[in-house]
Amino acid sequence: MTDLIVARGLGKSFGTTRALDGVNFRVESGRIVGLIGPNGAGKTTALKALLGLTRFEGELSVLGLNPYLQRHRLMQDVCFIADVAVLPRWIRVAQLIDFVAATHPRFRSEVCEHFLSRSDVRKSSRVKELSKGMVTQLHLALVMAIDAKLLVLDEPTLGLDILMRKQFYETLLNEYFDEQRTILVTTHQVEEVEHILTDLLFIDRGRIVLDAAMDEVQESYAQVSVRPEHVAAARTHKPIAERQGLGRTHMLFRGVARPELERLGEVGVPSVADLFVAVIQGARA
Amino acid sequence: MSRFLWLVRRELWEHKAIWVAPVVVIGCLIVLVLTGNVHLGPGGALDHSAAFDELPAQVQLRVLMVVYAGLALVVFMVMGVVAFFYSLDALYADRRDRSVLFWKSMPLSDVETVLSKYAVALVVIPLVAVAGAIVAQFVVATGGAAKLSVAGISAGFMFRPEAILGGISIALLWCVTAVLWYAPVISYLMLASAWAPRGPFLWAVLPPVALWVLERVVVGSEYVGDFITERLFGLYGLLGERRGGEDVLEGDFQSEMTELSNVDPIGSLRDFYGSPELWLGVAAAAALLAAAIWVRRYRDETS
Repeated sequence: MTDLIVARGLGKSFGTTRALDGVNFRVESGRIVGLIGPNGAGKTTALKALLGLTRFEGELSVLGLNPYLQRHRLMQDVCFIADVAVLPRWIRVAQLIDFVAATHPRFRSEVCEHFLSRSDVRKSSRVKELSKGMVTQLHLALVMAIDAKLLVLDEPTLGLDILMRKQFYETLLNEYFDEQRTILVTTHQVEEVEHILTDLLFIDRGRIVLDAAMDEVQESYAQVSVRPEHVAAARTHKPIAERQGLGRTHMLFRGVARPELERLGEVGVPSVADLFVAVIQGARA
Repeated sequence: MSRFLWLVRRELWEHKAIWVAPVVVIGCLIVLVLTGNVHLGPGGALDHSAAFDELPAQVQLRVLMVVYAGLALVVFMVMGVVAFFYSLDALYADRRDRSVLFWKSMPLSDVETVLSKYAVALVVIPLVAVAGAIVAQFVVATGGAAKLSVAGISAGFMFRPEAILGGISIALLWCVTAVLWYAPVISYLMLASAWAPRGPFLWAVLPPVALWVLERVVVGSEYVGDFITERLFGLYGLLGERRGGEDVLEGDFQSEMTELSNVDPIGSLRDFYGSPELWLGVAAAAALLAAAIWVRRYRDETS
């Protein structure tokens, strides 16, 4: 496996605010990485730096290129969908496909049309006549027809209904993703992506607070529904989070041996959302 | 088709005014011709067909060329307005509708993108203008021929190749000159379009106007104002200059026509082609264009 993205000491300031404060991480190829953080954590700034849309401090290499200085070369192998990257409203679907086919060396019209044939998007429509969900389907069809090495998705399902969101990720996982490809996704709707992610990157206040593969997370973190009589004993293992619910105390542990935990209550895999809350609160404390 | 031509094509999809405007002008002209409202020559002078027929052939021909050139000028002015608003919009429209990041997600350099838009303003729109001027000439020639044949004059007169070709050559020369003359203005508008946070019209117009007023109030001189008005309207002073009068003909109509035939559509354009002003303008256009590309490339689009 090769490193697709390498960031060392990545930094970016807006005035006196440090949007990115010396961030280090690597992304290997063939992974689906969730970049997750609260609002204003630096997610979008990090993605913009990766896509060559903003100046940054430190070292950043994407596919071996400096994204800021070599953006248009990088764009041959990188695709992105962002809530900020909307399709032009005046263009017709057919024109858009023709244009991308003519200007993108890795775009295959027939793949795009295959995806569109399953949607309600008609090729004669203008983008402004399409519903928000149809525009996203169109954008996804365009992007999935590009044989790119890295796909960056920034809140791609914002404003879509739950059926659309589910369909979006299913198509992405089943028909697009393979070992040659890498997907970097940011979203607030963590529950929707947690089953497809292979890696987690938590970011808060411009710093990476968790960088782990999903299977590592499942090994070292455990969620336990502690029985009332074991609460005091459980606390001696220093849970990183604790909340009350349905007569049980739910605690999140890190690096505590499994048999130990099983004596305290039912052990389960923590959801990414629970883990996220715990890690962020821990980092801020 | 090359990528660059596709980029140009995209502009024509987006900015329909480029071909709608000349079609509307020609359409209006056709309506005027059909309703008999086209009066040839200033004040319908050519409508006095019988009198016109008595003019010397050389004068007739020159008058006709001036009429055709004047027609071209109308089309050019309309296309000039189109080019003005196109340039202001070219690097702003996709930022306003936020599609700029989609375009930037394509493997296209900002140099290519800006140059394609510049080529639309400086090559495509002028070519459309020349084509529109030629069509307008033929519309009026046809209408005029119909009128003349009613008056019993050979309809072929309106289609005299010297007059038609003369009109077309003048249109081409004017067009090339206007392109060179307005290239720095177009570059400046594109820079404003790339840079303006919103409302590029105001961002383009206010700074020079502010400088103008400031200079006038503080220093009391008008160099900025003169410079701006010269660059915007000076071209028209070079056109239509009169040749030395050869008032040999008698009578109001006769002398009016002679005077008209003495209008030299090329005027003092020669002076412009020989002047350093031309090259300074081209250099300024290149510098402003480079600035527009730089702003487009390095502008942070989302903050």
